[in-house]
Amino acid sequence: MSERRWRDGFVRYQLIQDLNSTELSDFKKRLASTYSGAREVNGALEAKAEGGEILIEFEDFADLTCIISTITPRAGLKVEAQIDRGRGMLDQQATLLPLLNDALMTLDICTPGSSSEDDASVKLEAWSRRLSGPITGTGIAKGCILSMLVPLKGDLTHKNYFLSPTKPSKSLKGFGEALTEIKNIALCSAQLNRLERSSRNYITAYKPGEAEISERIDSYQWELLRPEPVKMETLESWLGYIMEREASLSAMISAVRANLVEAGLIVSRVEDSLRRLNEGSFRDYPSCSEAIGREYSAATRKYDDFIVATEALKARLSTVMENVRTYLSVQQQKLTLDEQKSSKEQLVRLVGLQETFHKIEIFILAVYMTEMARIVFDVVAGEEAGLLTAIFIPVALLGAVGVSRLLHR
Amino acid sequence: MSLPPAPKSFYEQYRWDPEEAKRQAYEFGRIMGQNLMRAIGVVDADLGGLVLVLNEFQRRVHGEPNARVEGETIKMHCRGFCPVMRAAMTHDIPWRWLDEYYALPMFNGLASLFVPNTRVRLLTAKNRGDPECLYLFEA
Repeated sequence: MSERRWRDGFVRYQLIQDLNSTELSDFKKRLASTYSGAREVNGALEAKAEGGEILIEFEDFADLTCIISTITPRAGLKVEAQIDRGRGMLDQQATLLPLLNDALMTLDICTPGSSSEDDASVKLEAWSRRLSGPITGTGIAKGCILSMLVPLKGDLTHKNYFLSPTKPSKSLKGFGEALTEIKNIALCSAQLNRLERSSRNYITAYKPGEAEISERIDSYQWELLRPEPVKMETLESWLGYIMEREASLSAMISAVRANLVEAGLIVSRVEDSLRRLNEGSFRDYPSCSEAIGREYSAATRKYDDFIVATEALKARLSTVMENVRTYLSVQQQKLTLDEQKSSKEQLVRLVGLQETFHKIEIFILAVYMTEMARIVFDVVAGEEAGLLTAIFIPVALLGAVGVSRLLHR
Repeated sequence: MSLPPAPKSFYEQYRWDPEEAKRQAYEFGRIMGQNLMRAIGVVDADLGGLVLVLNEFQRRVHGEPNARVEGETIKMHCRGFCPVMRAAMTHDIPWRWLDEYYALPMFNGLASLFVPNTRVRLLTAKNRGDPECLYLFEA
């Protein structure tokens, strides 16, 4: 890329999901059709339009494709006009190529040439006014003024940077190096946004899911407090619910934890880029490095917060699980006590029955002995047999008791 | 209730053949519906019977049994975590694929036992960032 191209111009880094060779070729064709007279030179597209010249290059970054559009507006334009022309030419692409609207990251850099720090500062203010965005941070990096705006409408997939050499010719090498680092940061932002997109729906689904679990476990705890015993089938269904939800929460925690680790690696790459930029302070502006650092920490904190909240909910489920288990164990103990009590009563009844049986046994034996005696008395005593039999009854009873004791010894 | 195959094995088997996935899921839905009808003794093949079976299904998968008839339609809200969502997260399976080729055709198959040609639509879906999945069964 010639030095003239990115000085006094406008650069856009746009990161999209990786395109295969057929998709890339098709994409280039459609991109070329948006500009009249576009031609392919060494894999890049070059075109001239009303606003100036445009060069579109493609770079592969592992699983992402970076589209680098460099606009060289006609010479002698003010910063505001440069921005308008540059953005106008690029937005023309997006209307025809929906893929670009779904880009993981779009980073626009206004790159006006400056004759001095004061000149750069004036252009910086003009840039901020034109884009209606407050400046988040500004500093001196690689001999250039580097500045960034607060993302418009909180859109983290579209960022605006400003990069302008503070001296007309001296800082060109530094300017190129700063652009490379900004490209690295754009790549990291794209990776972070992709990560965010992959987990966004799970994180959105968390809140209503949490509400549903809270309602359900509150009702369980309320049911456990009621004096009427909870049916075994009900408890079983509660345990099934708790186990199912715990499994879901564990899955969420593990997926988001993986994202957190990946986000941490991305953030460390951003920090490396910021270190290489070695940004110094400019006037009383807060530095870009601080602003970028804060932004990326917030991105990882989101995962951290999610994990903490999910673990807290999981702990609540575990508590209810414990409550149900305790309830079950108390019910079990009650059941055992009831069983023991009923066994004792049964034993007492059995002993009573046995005693009655013994008494009947004695009585039968006594009757039998008396009958035997009566037969004997009938033969021996004749008319006195009745009296003798009556007298014999107590003897028979005593004898029966004696025999019974002998038998049950 | 004979449950349909686990989402992971289903996805692995049919990921490259979505139309066959739809057909299979539809059949699983019918089998599952028949088993549920037998289990809870539903005999009426109308929207009321379908509501009973849908709610029984939700109870068995620990979901929210809130399906109800509204005119000529049935609405069923699912805001809690569901097995489809868990499978998508755990096995890194596209959530939308599972909803489109596994869950929806299954409900279609189940509904067809009651009202033939029932159309099942997801008016809102958690996989699209909505707070709940809202199923609409149109007779």
